[in-house]
Amino acid sequence: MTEHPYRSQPARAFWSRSVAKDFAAGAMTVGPEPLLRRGDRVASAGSCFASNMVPWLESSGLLYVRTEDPHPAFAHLPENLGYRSFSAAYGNVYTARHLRQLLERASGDFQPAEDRWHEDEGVIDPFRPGLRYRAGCDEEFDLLTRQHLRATLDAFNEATVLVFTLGLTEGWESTLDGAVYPACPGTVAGEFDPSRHRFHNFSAEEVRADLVEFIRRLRETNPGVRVILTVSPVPLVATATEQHVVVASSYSKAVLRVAAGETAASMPDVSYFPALEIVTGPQAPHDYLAEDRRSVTEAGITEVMQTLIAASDLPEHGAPPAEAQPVGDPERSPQMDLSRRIAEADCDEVLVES
Amino acid sequence: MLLKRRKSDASGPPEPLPERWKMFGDEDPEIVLGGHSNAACYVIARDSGLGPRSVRAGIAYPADFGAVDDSYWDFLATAGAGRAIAVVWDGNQHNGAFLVQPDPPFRVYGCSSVATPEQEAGRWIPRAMVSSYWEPSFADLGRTLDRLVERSRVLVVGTPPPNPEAHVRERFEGKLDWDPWIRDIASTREQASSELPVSPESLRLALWSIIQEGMREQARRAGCTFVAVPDSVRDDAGLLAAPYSAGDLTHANAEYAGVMWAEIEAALSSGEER
Repeated sequence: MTEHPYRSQPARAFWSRSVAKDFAAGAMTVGPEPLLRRGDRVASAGSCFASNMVPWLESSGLLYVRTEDPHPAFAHLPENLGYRSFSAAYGNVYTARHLRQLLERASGDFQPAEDRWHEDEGVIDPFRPGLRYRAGCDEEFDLLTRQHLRATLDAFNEATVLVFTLGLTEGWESTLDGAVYPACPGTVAGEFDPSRHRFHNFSAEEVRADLVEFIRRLRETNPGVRVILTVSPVPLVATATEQHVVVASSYSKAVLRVAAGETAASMPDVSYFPALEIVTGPQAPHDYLAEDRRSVTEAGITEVMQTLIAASDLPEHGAPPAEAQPVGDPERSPQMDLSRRIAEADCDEVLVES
Repeated sequence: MLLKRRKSDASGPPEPLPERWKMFGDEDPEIVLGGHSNAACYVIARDSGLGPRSVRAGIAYPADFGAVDDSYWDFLATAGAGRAIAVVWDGNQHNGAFLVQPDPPFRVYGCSSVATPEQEAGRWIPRAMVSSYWEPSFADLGRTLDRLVERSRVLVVGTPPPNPEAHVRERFEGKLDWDPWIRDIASTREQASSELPVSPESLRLALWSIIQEGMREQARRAGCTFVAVPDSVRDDAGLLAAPYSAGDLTHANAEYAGVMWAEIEAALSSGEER
């Protein structure tokens, strides 16, 4: 029998030996170094699927970088989905172009021409259109936005590892300067104007170029940062193309997968983690997706996170807390108790004096 | 007079309750003013002849100048039925929560005329978030207004601006030590009561302006008139001018109420927001 390259391949290289039988998701992660290490400070960005990993990371003893937590006095107030799910309050970042432009804006290298929308309820950030608490005027908007972008830059620079989960290739951009929005104007907020807004379906080469440029810029100020790229297994909720949404999703995920793989292969300290394959690969159990065949179930998320943690060197292999604990109970703030007591005491004193 | 049944004899004659709520002023008023503790100065202003001048006014207020509860609003609704009602709602939220500098400090932009000095520290909190923080109080006001407007024309009266830091500091110096709780907290912080950090004037002004906006919005929604605090009772920084302070940390005096009575009368006659 002749020698050939496949003879030396491990079992994971063969479908018959690693999928048809003895499947183990952990075998899908390759590389000599653990993905996450003790002492890592992890920041993350990406689609809504990416937010699932935060409680797992924190319960595993890692420091999850948070630079824009709500003030304790106001932490009990609700925020809309996504804006408290990541290291800073940028919300969901679905496209690589959005991530690249976010860093460029935070660095002061890009100022989008259409950077705010004025509505009756206040001034809206087109790049965070779902924010619950909107600025009341342009001056307040400028202050809040500058503060947010500083926090974003801090998060990116404090991290030893940045995890980015690619979500979409379909995006909406400004015709003025190519600024990419997280949602089509007019859906979450704002108004769609075909003279100012256009659809763009990013190619694999565009996504790869955006990822490379993002990482290059990031390493200008945080040279040692490692990057883990993943692709969200969640299909498109809708497509703006003429395709069926399943076909459009397949295209989108394929593009993102190619771009992530090529970026990881071409840059040092950039890894690809196969969340997409774990949840949607042919080996994946039916119950990793809910009945709508779009939502990832707890079982799917658990498999993804246990695989990531197993591929890491962490102090603990914990599971996420069953329920998020409320934070920032205003009744427990000593300054607020003191303010209340002083105001009451002084009133009482006036009555005593009267 | 309020009456209640005897516990031991439900069928017996009712026993008189002490009157908790009292109508001060005119017996047949055209307008009834009522509300929380910031309404007290209106009683004194009327008794002192500082206002109102052109309308017969009554002030519905706790007989002992104490706190109000749900039954008080029943009293006000009944007393003001068929007349105008002026509501002085809360107005001390900014002091009750943030008179002492929050930790960590924060800033709130003053979208109106109130500027925040650049050198002040702390993260920016959206005004809308602070407004949401006080939404329960605003919602209570809204429910109260919805009820009152059924039988009355209703005005919502602005509440006193915050005092200057020098005034607050003066109150802190030695005048809070009689309260053992405050003394203990100050001791825990290794500070004297007089050294407790007071929130910056710009923050307290911004917080106060949010409260005024919240009340104005509730008034607008319920079809009521909002009577704003005029510049004449504010100093150059927008704070409560010294001649109008009651001397404590939070309240205004009868002279202030005299000015506000004039504003209320003007709003009443013009039918427009002041």
